[in-house]
Amino acid sequence: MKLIKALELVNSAASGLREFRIFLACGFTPLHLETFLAAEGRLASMQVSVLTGSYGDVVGNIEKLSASGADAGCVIVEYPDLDPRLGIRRCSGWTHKDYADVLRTVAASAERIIEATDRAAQVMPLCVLMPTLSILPFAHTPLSQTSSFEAQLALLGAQMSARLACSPQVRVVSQRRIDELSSAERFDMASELAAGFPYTVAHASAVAEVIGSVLFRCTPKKGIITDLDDTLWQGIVGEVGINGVSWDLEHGAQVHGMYQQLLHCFAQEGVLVGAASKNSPEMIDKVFECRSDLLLPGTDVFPVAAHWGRKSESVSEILRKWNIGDDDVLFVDDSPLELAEVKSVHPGVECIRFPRQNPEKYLEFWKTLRGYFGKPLIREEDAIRLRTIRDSSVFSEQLQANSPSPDEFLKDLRAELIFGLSVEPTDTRALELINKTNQFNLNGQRHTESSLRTALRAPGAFMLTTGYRDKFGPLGKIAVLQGQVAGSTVSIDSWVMSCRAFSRRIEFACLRQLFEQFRAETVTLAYVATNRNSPIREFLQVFKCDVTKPARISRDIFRECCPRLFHKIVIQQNEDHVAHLIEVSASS
Amino acid sequence: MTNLDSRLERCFQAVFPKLSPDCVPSATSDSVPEWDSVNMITLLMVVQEEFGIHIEPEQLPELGSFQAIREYLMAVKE
Repeated sequence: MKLIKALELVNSAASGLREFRIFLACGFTPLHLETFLAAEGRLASMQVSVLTGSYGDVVGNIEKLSASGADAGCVIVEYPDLDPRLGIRRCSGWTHKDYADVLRTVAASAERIIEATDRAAQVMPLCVLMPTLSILPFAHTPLSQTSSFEAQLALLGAQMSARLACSPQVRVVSQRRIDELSSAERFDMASELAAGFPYTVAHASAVAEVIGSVLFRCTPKKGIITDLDDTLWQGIVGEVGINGVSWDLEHGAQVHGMYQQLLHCFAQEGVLVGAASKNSPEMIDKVFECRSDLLLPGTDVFPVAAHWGRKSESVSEILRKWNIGDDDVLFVDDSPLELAEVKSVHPGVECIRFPRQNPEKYLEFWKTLRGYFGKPLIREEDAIRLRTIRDSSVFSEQLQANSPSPDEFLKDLRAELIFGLSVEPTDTRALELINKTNQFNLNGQRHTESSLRTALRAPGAFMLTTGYRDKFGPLGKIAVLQGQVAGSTVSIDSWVMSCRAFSRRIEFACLRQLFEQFRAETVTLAYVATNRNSPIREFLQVFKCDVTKPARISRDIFRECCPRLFHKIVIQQNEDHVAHLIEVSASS
Repeated sequence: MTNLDSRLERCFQAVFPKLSPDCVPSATSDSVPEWDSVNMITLLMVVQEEFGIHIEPEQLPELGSFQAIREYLMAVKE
């Protein structure tokens, strides 16, 4: 982005945009970087204000993060922050005889920065950018040779990155991505001497773009639907037979093997993987059954829509089974015709062409897919997601088959609900549910880590999470309620439940838990109608709530209207917190 | 208005958004309250980027107004 474009973006009208404050903790004058960051925020439809600290004191600035009130922090470290002798604004007359002392200083500074960053990360989401500017030519070696001194400096920097990357609350910005976007000259010596800002404009723009994609990232897609012939494997299985399709180097089909491996990784990371193929279903079943050398096992793929109809029909079928919207999904096919056909029926689906005959384009394709599905953390629920979708499909079929006596069916499930009461804003699964659930969602309100943390600090605040398992297997954590207790009233501000958990009366059990856990007489719910939350509206109507406004449910009405519940309840909670909440409610 | 003038006015408007368009051609470092050292650096960076030129540091003291920068650009163009 050009600087003039960034300035014009930042200066344009900001009405209706969500405000987002970033504290930029760096040792240099932020100058144009501040402008580019704010501009990146505008591209993400946010009004970003950038708070900064003092020149030359990166550790002090990191320590200011906690009290800054910012929504997120961004720490940028360059070599002069680790030892001013590695910069150009201070000349101390040092020589190669001082290498050991410089390395000791750098190591000590690195420790201070890591400790300060870890402390700050307990309070707000943080990203960290390690040195992007080359070590200046202080070493005695020729320019084409790396000295031991430079190698040890680089090692200290890499060790810092590795330690910080282990913290779930810290996002280390990718150097690889910076290298891709900023290949030209990065260091502006004139600007560094004149203003203390070391970056060229182009480098500042690239740095802001990558930081922006970490801080303002879009929610990853939920599923990928892949074609099979000449996409998942090379060849048309109906023509060459089960053993004729290939995905290895020997057959010139290595990109297909790499693609299978990528989809296998996605499946393990919780991405839903489905297949849409114009083939006989029996033939496809045989491939998954007989080709044990497939890098994407059949257990990773559900459902497989194989028939001779249109691909858009397969996509419709898969979306139904997954119960997600088309804008949550990517479709990959080698045929531009099929891609166009699917796009015409499902405009929300992102359609990407598999680079079958262009292996030189595979790397870009790979990065594109990673861009859509990358996530900072992989959780236990991610590994079981596809299995729970598959099990839910079986569950729904059996529920329909048993429709005359759903009570008996539900009783036979041997279902267990695991309730957890916490004020832990770093429960990333809870935050993911709040921000990705649309249907059973009380009011569509989304939270950042920072705003959820603020909400949970209010007097009487709580967050109740719900895990579920039954004879079909676990669903993991599938519901979150967030609200406050005041006297005999529990007020719910947010309530979301995964659509995989429907038809199990879990929502009734959650409400019952609120009445029992907090000895409440009334539960109020901040219901607001959205385009997609009819399931929760229908649930509230069971209790005769007026759904044109926030809802109130008394204990008596709940007892009158609640159907029979058969769940075994398991409570996981912080006893001190529960006692505190009950104490708060008694004193209100 | 020449192409150079309109492009230079765009640079000024980007750096000094509160400056009314009528006042841009007569803008000086004395007449524009926001024209401080930081905005001077930003303005010159924007001009360099927009016109694809490099302004030598020794020229900076002479570029304290719209007209001065305009004349500098005309001279560079020639």
